[in-house]
Amino acid sequence: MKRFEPVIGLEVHVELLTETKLFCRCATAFGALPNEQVCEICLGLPGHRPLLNKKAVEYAIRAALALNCEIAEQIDFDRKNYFYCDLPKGYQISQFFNPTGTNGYVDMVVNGTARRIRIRQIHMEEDVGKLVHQGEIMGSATSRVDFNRAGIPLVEIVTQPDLRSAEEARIFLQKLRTILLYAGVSDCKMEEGSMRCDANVSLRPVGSGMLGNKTELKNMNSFRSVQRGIEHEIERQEEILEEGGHVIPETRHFDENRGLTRAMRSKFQAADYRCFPDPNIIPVIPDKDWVARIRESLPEMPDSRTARLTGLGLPPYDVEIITSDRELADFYDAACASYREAKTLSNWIMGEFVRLLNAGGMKVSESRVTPGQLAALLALVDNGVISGKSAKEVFEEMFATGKDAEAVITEKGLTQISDSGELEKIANKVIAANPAVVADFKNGKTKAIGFLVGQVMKETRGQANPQVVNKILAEKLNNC
Amino acid sequence: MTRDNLTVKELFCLYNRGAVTREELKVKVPEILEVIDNRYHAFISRATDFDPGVPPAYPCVAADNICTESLNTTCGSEMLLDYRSPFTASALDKARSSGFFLLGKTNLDEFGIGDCTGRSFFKTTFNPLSQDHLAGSGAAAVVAVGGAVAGFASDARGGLRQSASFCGLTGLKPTYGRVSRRGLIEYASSLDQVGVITAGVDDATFALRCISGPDSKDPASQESPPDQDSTASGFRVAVPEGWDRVSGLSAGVKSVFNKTLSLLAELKVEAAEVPFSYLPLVSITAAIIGATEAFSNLANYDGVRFGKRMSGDHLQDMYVKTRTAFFGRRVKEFLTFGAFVSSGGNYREYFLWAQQNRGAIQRRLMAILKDYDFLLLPTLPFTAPTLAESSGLVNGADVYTALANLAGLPAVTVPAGFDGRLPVGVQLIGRPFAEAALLKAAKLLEEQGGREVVAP
Repeated sequence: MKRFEPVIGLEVHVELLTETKLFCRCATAFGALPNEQVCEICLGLPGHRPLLNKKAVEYAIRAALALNCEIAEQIDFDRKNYFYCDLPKGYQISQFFNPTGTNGYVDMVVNGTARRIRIRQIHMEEDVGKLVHQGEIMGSATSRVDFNRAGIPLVEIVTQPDLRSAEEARIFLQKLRTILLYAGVSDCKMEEGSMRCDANVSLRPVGSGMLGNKTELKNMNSFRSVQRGIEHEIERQEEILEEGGHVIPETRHFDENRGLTRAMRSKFQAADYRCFPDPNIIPVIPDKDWVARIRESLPEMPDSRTARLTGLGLPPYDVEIITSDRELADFYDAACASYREAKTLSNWIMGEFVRLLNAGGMKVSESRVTPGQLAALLALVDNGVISGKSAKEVFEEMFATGKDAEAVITEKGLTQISDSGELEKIANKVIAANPAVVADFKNGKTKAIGFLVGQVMKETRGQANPQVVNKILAEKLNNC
Repeated sequence: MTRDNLTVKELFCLYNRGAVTREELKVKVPEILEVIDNRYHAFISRATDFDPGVPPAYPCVAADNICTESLNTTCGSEMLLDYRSPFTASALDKARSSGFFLLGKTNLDEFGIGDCTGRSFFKTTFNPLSQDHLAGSGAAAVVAVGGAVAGFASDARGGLRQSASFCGLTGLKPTYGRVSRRGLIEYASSLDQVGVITAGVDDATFALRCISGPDSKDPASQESPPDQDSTASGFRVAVPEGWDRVSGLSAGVKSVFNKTLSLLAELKVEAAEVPFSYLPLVSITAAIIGATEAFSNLANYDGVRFGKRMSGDHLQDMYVKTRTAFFGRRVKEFLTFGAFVSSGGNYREYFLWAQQNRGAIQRRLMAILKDYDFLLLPTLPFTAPTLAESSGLVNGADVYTALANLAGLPAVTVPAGFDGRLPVGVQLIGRPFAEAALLKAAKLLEEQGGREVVAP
């Protein structure tokens, strides 16, 4: 029995998907040459005035609503003052006093147990520039700064210290990502830095209501690395506490390669950010209608979708896979509108469809096959027009060309032969050509019929309906 | 009058009437500016091309904390010694499209911080009315000698009005938001406003019209509501009580102000003292808010992207050396004060306290302006200081002027008399966006006050 339990809270920064920056009209697109997407405002030149991007405010409200937060009565901004060379103005514009959203929550399931993680707040802030060094940081004589990223809108989502294990933290983060992807406010790519996570980790005696000294853990660049980093930090703190020591409150860096966390060299003394309201930004009062419209424009969120798909009789695994991607879930729903076999549909979507998408490195939205086309194909299978096996071949062609199932079937001549008159002729031919096998059957080797079915299929180049062939052959063999 | 004695303003006037050729203007104007600069140390940079284009053209200057593409913008600081802004302030763009022609950039307290002494890293500007005394700003000195029709400058705690008063001029600080501040390198964003110094009220009225209006690049700028002139059938003036108990109020200023009150009585203008307990808090409140914002606004002068840089052993060392070397003493004192009053431990006691004062002052002023059309106050407690006197005067100069900045209200100073050789201004503060009425009343004071003015 462990003596200590971990108490974990996350601070997650997410880049908003606006086309322009938070306070200027510079593009946010990734991949431009250094300092190509800059202007007087995001460079902090003397005499500039910030121009608040209303779309970013809308996205922040959208994210806050998706996380079940209360929306601030007034959206305003504060200055967080500190000096660093990636910070053009010498202050970062953030929301210190009145975050956009507060008191939200995320529901999730960890190892079969329902958990509700409270969201303390979500607030907007501007991103800083990026330092570029030649070679290693410490060995580089100079730093260069690329300000393309400076001023890109971020939201920071801060949880309450409700997480109790590294695994929970990872699952929370994945759930958060799904929710934000559903809301359409960010692409949440941890590897590219459009989603970044810091973790506050502390330990306390099991059953205690107190909080121990916490460390802030940084540099975790994937979901896996978040879990691993926190695991290592928990172990480290456990060892200290078991030996009767004290955890030093500090910022620690996760070293992915060496699998350990280490204290970061403190660059400056304890920061005093001197936060005060930015006098150049006029507060926005989000009127109720606007917020209501944003709320209405949110799609059905993952939890509600999960409940609905479960209600259709889908197993939990299928529900999880389908709802993990909003586009995939939308595809499922659209197909489901005209094809009612929920499980067959999920098999096809999770199987063939996802396989082909992955093979082509494509997103659902890039698919040429529509949900309606898939539904039509499955109906043709059910009606016996083609076999399940041919259907896969047909679907591949549909996926490649975007053509309807019927067109592909006609082109390829794949229509299944269910006409018993036609099949009886072929069956007679096969029976006549294989007297030895017929004899085996007569002698009780009922499995021999399989060979004969195969011969019929071969004769028809696979277009015969195997169930019908089976029935015809059985009747003929039993009667001769 | 021989043409040799003409001022720049008069030359442009003749040019606009076709009485002076473009060639003559191009030769004479720079010569006169050279003389003005040599005598009063008014300019930081002067235009190189004096072709004003198609008439009418109105000569103007701009304080060197207003950005221009055509000339450097130094803020009077070594930090920005060679700084050229990639854009021109919106107010100057507007002025240009109304026919204003920029002659040069004028001297100012470094970054505008310094309480109207008119001292920068480069020079100290002297007062054309009395060369032993300071002008408060280069713009005021140039306008005072007819070197320009208008001097565009900033007014954060009253500097613009103070220097206008020192030089016997009209100084107008518009309502916050009436004029775009994009391109103004302000130190105190919530207080600062672009305004204008002119020889008289009419010029100020004209200049204001040219620079007013919304600007898509300054979200705080607004379309001015239609002027509602409440003063058609006379107006009422409130004088905040305690005006005469302000420390440092000189006998000369007091006497000119009292004469203005008698003058209003003669004109049957009701001028009543109203209860007002905040005068002792004005300077300190404006200083705390101004310094907090300045500490943040001037943080971009870090040697990284523009301006001067000292090399250092590491990043923090570079910051310290750069800012230590290239900011002047007064700026560093003010920034240190700002860092102190906004630091975590002092935020409540100082910054929040000042914000509360500001709110209370705003509410009280608006309440007074419900019953009265204007507030009337001296512009400063004293007249233009000498260089020696100025070092002790840094606090309290803004006791009357900063009220308008704290409340975002329009205010205008006009000369009302003299104390010896030095002019004394009085100040009217009006309702938000009621500049038309304000300037009309100022015009009345100007005309009537003229009787008292004895030219030195």
